[in-house]
Amino acid sequence: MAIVEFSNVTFRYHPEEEPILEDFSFSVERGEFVSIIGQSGCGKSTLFRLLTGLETPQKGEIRINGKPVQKGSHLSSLQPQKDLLFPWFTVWENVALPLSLQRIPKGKQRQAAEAVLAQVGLDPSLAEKYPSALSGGMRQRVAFARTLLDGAQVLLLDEPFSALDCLTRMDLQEWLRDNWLKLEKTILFITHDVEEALFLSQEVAVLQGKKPFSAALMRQVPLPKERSRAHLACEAVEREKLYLMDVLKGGAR
Amino acid sequence: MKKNLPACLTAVGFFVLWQVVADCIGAAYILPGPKEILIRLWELREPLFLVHLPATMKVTFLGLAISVVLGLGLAIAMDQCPPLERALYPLIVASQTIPTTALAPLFILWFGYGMGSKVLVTILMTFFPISITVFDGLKGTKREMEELLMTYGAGRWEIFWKCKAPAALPSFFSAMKMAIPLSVIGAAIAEWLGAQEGLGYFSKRMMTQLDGAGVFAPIVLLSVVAMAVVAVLNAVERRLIPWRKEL
Ligand SMILES: Nc1ncnc2c1ncn2[C@@H]1O[C@H](COP(=O)(O)OP(=O)(O)O)[C@@H](O)[C@H]1O
Ligand SMILES: [Mg+2]
Repeated sequence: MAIVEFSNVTFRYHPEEEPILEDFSFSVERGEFVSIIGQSGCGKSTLFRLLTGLETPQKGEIRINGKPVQKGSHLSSLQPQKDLLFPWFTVWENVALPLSLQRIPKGKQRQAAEAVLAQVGLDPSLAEKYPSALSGGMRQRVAFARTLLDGAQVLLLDEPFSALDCLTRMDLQEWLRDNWLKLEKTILFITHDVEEALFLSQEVAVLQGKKPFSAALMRQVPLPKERSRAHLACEAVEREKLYLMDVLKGGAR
Repeated sequence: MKKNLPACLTAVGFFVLWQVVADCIGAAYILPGPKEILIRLWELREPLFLVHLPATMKVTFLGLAISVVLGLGLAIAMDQCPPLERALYPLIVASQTIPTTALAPLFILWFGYGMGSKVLVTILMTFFPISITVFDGLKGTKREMEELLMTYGAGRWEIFWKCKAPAALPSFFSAMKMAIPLSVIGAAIAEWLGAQEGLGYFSKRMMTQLDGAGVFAPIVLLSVVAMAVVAVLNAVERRLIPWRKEL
């Protein structure tokens, strides 16, 4: 059964504007890693705003795990476009933020935060530091740790690596895949980088053509679940990459 | 320390120049030198420190405390309630252009020479700047941060305590650093206009006696106290906001 499901969703930000989605249907199976690509400004982040209940569609229904998404329904864990670490909290307080809102005792929060920091490969000595002391790559790991502690089965990652330098980025891509293989989470991953989408995910969803969208173009990635960067060089992937770039430019249909 | 050296030298130069000019003019009832003022400060230490300084401080701190409570309250209320913001914020911003010192005599006229009217003048001087600065701080928080907290299931007061209050803390300190000198000015002006005690009153009394150094002494005392309080506040701020450099 699909874990994430948009059924005939129509959404616009302002009544007088052209809708971004019209009769939009889209679904993701449990445990999948799906990348969402599309031109900048086409409405990728808007999908996440709808999935987290920050926005409510004018028509249609969105379900996660069979439950309808509403304001404050908390069925998915969002990692927003910027890392958005709170500068006034230490690293561990940032990570434990979702727990602190569930009124869990401080000692337990701290334990859980340290465990998840270790899980994302950060030294426990960082726990007491302020975010300003961290590099961009470390900040992303902290943000991911916080997303994990939020605890939902569905993770929504909005261009988490786009602000990082190339080497850190490749490092974190591999790290994220390892985590996904271990964690049994469902991941929706927004990116504008076709190669990143192909390397990370099992399936790529393309928001393509003119607004309003009524569906995403779904493409299977021709790679096994266990993969390495070397796989990207094979011919099937190259062909898929060229095809996707073409679609993004609005050429092929 | 090295960084402040030029400013210190300028200050020393200023005082030396002042002393030289004062000595040349030789009319201490108009322009006493720093030396004369310090001597007078020492001679008048009993009335100044035991009677008039405490009187002025009482007015200042009472007025400031009430202003902080009311100002914070109004800032938070406007932040939480947009209709209130639309109804009041433009008026408060406009009120900033009113020379509040010019209104001080009215309070004396209405409420007499007692403690109450002096406290009111102090509140009038500090209340609006505090509410505006703190309100701007609360409004300045990143929308995305609030939304992230919403996705974690936070309610409006949780958002306030986790996000808005800490983000507005630097603004709160700025507001206080602005309000402290203003409250001292407010108290002193009210005392000038009419009172039986206080540094402003004392300064005025010395003036009627053509005692130049006696006029200056309480003014110097007021300035030093205001600067000292602001310095303490700066230290507290550095302690309380170790993350400030990131904003
Ligand atoms: N909170 C918002 N309020 C109003 N309009 C918005 C908001 N967020 C995004 N938009 C508009 O919706 C469109 C899609 O934005 P977005 O989903 O952020 O695109 P993407 O993430 O694909 O770059 C853009 O035209 C943007 O201006
Ligand atoms: Mg976006």
